[in-house]
Amino acid sequence: MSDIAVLTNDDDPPLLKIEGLSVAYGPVMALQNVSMELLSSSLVGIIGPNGAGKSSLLKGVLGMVPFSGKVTIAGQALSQARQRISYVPQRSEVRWDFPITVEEVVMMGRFRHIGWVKFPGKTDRQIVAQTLEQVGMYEFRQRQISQLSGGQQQRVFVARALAQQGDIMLLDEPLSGVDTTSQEVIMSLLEKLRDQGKLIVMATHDLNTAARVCNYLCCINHRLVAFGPPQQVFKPDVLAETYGGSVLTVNTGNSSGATLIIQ
Amino acid sequence: MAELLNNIWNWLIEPFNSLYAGSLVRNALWELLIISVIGGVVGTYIVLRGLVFIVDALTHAIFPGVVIAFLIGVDFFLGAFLSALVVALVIALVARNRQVSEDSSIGVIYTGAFAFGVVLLSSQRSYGRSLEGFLFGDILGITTLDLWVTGIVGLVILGLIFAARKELLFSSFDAAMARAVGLPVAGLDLFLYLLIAATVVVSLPAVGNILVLAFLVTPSATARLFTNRFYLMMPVAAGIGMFSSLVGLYLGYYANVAGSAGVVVVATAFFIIGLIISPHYGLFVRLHQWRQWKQRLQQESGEVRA
Repeated sequence: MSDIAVLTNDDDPPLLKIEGLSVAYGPVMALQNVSMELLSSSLVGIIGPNGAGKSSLLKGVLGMVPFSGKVTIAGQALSQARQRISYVPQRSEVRWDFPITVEEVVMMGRFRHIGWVKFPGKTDRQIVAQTLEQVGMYEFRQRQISQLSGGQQQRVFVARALAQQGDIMLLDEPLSGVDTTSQEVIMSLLEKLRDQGKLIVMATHDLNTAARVCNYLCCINHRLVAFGPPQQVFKPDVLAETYGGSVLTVNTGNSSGATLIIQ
Repeated sequence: MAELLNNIWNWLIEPFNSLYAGSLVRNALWELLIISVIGGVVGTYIVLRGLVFIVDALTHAIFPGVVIAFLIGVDFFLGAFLSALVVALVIALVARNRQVSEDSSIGVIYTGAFAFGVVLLSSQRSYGRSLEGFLFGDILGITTLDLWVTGIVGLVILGLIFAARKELLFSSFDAAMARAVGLPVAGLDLFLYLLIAATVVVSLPAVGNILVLAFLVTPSATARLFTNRFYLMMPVAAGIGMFSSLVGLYLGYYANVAGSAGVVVVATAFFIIGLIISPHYGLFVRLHQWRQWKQRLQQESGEVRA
């Protein structure tokens, strides 16, 4: 299978273009030579086994880890278009005991727009209130974040990414360790954002959700194994190559042709 | 009654009005109040980011620089600031990827640097006296000039923190995300270390090398026990520091104990009281929660049996 996945037509520069992205932590190569072109109005799932480089791909795109290769956003370099990308980190990477309220966390999404020294303005406060409404957390705005459940915390971080008002959103495992209500809120929000024309890229373990909602799937195992719509990617040979044989696929044989995946 | 109140009032103002020591005690109080305000603000970042050990290292590693400045006759503040600058840079580099294994290298370097300072100083005649001054400060030796230096440097520190408060909050809470939105996280870390170093330097003459950590950390750690709001922690910590300073000075005057050590003992007492009565984390609250939990379990298992 080709290492380059191309989804563009010629008139439109791709919203996110990744060329030859490699990420290394010291001597350990996490991700090697991944190239992709992603368009607006799509929801892309990044799947692969633990430690396959899913997070590294997202962090490499944002320049948060040592990387080589080139990332362009609608033809612009990352440094010029950083404001267009928002990011939802893995839940484990945040200081949860920090004395800070829901509202203050979401306001952080506005800090780059506000700039140094200045205070948040009326528009910023309105945006924060709106995004909290969108994830159903407005009534919790004065709570300290450690008092929230895992799913509620995740919704707050999605709200923060929303408040950045970029047109690309990268999410690292937004559904793991999250209750079903929050999963539904987050997924329907992501679908809505896609329909509004945004590009959503999420790393996930949940193959069933990925198959159900993503337009494109990107199979990673230290390199790009496959890229395409779910029905193209969910094939026994591709999944075996991605997961090294640890996935069992069963053809349920019903009319929709759905494949049941047991991890 | 009126006489009693009058006596108490006289007792309270005597240290500041006495003929011989009055002006010294007044200077000491002002100095401690200013240090409390800076310490409350800077200490909030230290406590929340878990930098206590690194700041401990920083204060000790500044010591040899201060001694060298003393030996070659350079101005104290100049020498201390220069060595603090170097130390803050080195620590910012070492602490870039803070991990357990680096704890030991920081520990080794800072105790080594501290010992080097003592070695240098001990080559001097009558070094015991100056060593004591460096280690514990001389709270009653604060001059008006010292006060001005502390006040102006303090204003600069607070002004810089105000200017970068949003970015410092962001990188303290969620460094990965701060990097992702393009904030200069490494630069902000260094900026914070430099401000901490400056706070340490202006506090040294009054409180000395050993106890300065307590002035930065103890009131903020106590404030954390009583508030869940980031920006509230700063004034609460400053208030606790100021009150401890006042009580500590009375202790020094009436019980004739070393002033800055007295302040630290009082601040530590507040911290211990906080551990017991804190509304969020206190011993009482936890005991109460535990009892409720046990009661509910018993009730529920009783219902199951019935």
